[in-house]
Amino acid sequence: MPLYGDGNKDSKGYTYINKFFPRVDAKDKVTGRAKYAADLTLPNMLLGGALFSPYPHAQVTSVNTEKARSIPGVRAVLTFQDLREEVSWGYYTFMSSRLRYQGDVSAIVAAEDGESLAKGLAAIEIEYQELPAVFTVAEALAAGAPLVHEGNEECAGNIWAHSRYRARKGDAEAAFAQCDRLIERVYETLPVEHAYMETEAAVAAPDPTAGLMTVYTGAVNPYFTRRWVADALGVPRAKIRIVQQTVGGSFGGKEELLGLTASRAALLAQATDCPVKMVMSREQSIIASTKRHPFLLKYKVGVNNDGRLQAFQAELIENVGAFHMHEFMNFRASVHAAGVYNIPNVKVDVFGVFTNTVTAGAMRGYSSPQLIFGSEQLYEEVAGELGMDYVAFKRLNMLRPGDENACGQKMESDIILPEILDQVFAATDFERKRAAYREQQDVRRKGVGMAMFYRGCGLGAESPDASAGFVCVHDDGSVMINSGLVENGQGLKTSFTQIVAETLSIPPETIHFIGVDTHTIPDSGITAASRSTVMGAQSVKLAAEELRDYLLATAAMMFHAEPSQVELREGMFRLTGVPDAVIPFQTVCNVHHWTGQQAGVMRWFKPAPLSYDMAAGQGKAFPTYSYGCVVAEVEVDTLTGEVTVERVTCGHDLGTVINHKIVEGQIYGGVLMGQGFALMEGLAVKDGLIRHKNFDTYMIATALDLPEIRVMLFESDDDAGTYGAKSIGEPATEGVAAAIISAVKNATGLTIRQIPINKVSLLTLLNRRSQAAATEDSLAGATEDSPAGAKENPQGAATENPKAGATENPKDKEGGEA
Amino acid sequence: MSGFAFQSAGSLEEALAVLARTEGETRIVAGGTNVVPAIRDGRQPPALLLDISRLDGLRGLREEKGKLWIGALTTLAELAASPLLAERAPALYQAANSFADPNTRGRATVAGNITNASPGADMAPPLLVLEAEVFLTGPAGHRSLPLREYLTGPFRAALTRDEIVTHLTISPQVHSAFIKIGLRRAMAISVATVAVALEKATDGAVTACRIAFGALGPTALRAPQAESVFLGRQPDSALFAAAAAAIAGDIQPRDGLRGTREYRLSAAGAILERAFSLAYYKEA
Repeated sequence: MPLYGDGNKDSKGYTYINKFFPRVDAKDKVTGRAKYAADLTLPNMLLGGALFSPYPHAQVTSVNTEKARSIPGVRAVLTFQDLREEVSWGYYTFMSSRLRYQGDVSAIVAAEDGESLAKGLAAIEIEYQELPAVFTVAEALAAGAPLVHEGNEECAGNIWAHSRYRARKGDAEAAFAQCDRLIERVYETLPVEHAYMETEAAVAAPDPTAGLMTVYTGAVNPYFTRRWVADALGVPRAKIRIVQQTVGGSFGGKEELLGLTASRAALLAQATDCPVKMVMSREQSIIASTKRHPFLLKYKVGVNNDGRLQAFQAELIENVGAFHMHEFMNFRASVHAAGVYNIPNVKVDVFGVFTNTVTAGAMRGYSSPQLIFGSEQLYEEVAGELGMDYVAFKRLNMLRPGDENACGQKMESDIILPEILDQVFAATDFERKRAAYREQQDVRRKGVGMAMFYRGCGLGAESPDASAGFVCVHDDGSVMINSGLVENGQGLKTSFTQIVAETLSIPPETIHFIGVDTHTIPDSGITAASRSTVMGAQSVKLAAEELRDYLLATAAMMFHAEPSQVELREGMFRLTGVPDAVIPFQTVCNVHHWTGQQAGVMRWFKPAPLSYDMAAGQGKAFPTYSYGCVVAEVEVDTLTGEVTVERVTCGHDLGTVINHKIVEGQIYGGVLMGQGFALMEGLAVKDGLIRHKNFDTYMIATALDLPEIRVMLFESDDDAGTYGAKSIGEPATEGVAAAIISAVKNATGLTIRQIPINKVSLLTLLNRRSQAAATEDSLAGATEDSPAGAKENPQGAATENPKAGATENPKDKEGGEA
Repeated sequence: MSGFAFQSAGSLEEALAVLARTEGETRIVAGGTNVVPAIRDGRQPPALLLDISRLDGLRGLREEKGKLWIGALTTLAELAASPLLAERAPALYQAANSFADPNTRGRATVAGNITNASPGADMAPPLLVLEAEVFLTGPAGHRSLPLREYLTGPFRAALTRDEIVTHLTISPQVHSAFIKIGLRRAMAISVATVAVALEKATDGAVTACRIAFGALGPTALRAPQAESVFLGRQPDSALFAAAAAAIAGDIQPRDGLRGTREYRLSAAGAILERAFSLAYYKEA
């Protein structure tokens, strides 16, 4: 299919989708009219706060709240001793005497104002016994290491049993013995903060109308939040009502700390019988919220001298911190580990390791940005070892229709990656620049690099990708729609509105999106995995289709005709073949209402079942995949280590573009996040304690750091998603870091195996290479292969990674062929 | 934010009287860009915050007897937008423009930046090379001292508890420049900064040279050894290499959250060459 917007804008023939429509929530957000949870004030509302652990691992030996309770203005002090059940799911604790990381809480306080609250928290008399702790994967896996979840068999040896996922295809071991060359590499990534503008906030209000408690909050999954709150209070889910507020950013992160914050506020509300607002400070949010999983990526590749990949083996280990509820991420990681390549033999194992450090959770891409960085760099290195051009190498091994991916799923639908590569390369003059930049000696060196990738759309075999959709009309012709999925800044309300407009063929201006209230629409799962437009909107579309049939029947009655003779087009009911026979939508709706016809429909959508065997790591993992290629252009200052990202060109397979402006917005934000992941971000954690607690030290890119971003949207024919749409929220960010690192390599010749790499770490690498070149006793290439090891600079590339770059290639050593 | 009293002075005399009366339990606040974050971070607040932001006599930027007079309350936004500064003292102009972001520049004051005396204070290196003199007033009357004596240590300035900075003067130098390295391009605390001011003869030989670094020692500091490398010479690559080598004797870089000693030392040489070249080739 052609490039979207390239003179083919209406090629798919849609009326209200496949084109721009202003975001339905834009005006409220830019004028400040939108309300976030922290904006709410209820009568008699108290403020809640939490006492966080001063240690990465400790046991509370005594706690006395008498003094705290006596402080004027303090209305309740609760500790772990007051809980009916400390532990919720993912082993998270609402409060606990065993504090497993800095974000764990032992006590909570409700007070009439912020000052009393601070005094109350400070007056809790508490003593701790600090416990031996583990912080790194290596420490956690060492023999006799302290256990993060002592006595829990599911966490034996600090490995979470449920986190083990695998992908298998062919026989990698046997293939290694037959290959011309074996190449091993290790890459590493650091934890990354979501940096959403709104910190976690909730207002919990005792509410007999709701059952027991209503909680106002902005969650990535209000139904999970309901579960946290119901568990904390020990009541059925039906007694808890979550009313979703405007979300000030999530990127996957408004889950664990958000749920705990809502639960803690609810516990205090229950204890005081008053509404309680709890808002995390930025520091608390950074300390206690989840981060992008830091991964250790160990690869072994077997390849023949003709460049054909024969076997791929990967052990991918994530440091999950103290808690974990993201086993399914490892399913996604296992399927995508080898990248968008056809490799006959694959063996992938993924697992998570507990440590007493910041917890990891879902973050935009859900392992893909880490894995794409690792595997795309890996393939560049493999091509280099073979003396091949890496783009030619990638094209040679690329997945094609009919091929099987790493878990043996046959690629049934169109793969437009070759077209995307050709057009993105042409638009960026990629090949010429890449060749021209190879041999620069200037202080400032240009570089161009690329990454190509694919992504399974929706949840796939991870869990049921089911959701509820609701549509109803009023007697005046206005329409209300709802979904069990939430607007968290991605543009869901707007794209769902356009989809209903298209289905009913009425102008989107007449449609209002309600938003989640868990008392009004069933649990539709998490708004994540870039599933909403692709899969979640299907139920809304089904509901609109059913409602349209009811309205057509009413219109037919009014025309004295059969429903099959009536059509609804652009807000008008028309009698087929009779040009003047037209009734406005509103008129039909009025009659529809006053004749008692069904005016509202709730429908459920569940995609066709996939046949995936988790234990074997084989089968049909996702209904379809989207494809993409990112080209990054940089300039490296070799005397300061500064990398200026000058231009990023993003080519994505959208299937069907619903609203290109929203897609562009997703891509701009995705590039910014990818740039941070490559060059700036990376949380400094020392002995389990976070050193970057606010944005003065934790660097995210600002407007001045942003490159020029070029968006190239491609459409394809694929009926798996709503109106053929494919995912973009996560594809927008997943290839960016890999492309930037590839460009830095083009500019400098340096192979980078740990990200983020900031200017301090990069200059350290450059200087070490120069020093090595100056002292001739160093081995050729040794400097390039040394890890980015500026040890006092954790934000760039913190830890020594002694195994990184160990080229364990028996044939190389024996034959010396390089 | 609580636990302290707040008073806004209507005149310099009133402010001085309050300082005299409260014997050092008072902290002066103007733009608040250092004081407010410190209180928010949970550091012990002072008993009284004395706001001097209404003392309009302490604002402004003008030429006076061949020098530039800069009021203590002049904001970095005003410096960053000053054509006079751009023309006569590019180093200070460039430093003001590299500082934080437009919002913070709109509140932060020049005297606040140097009196806070952060080792990485962005205004300090350009003011050092422009031979800034700091003017103070207190119960004993007026006094002044060179900036290099005013900066006594990390977060320590030679301001007694009952004094207020009224203004600074600088010697304008068109051949001056400033370069900053931060971990991003806005809202970045410096990892290393350098300012250069020089004079040259008609044959191009350097006749006067002042170099100062920031974030590379306990305070912003002059670099006499690097300065002496350039004196009487015309810059070339060998000279820059010699200057970069000489820096090691001038600065005391340390490992920190934003950068390593190794990085700072290496990058300082690079930005010195660039700032020197900017200053040297600046058209008068």
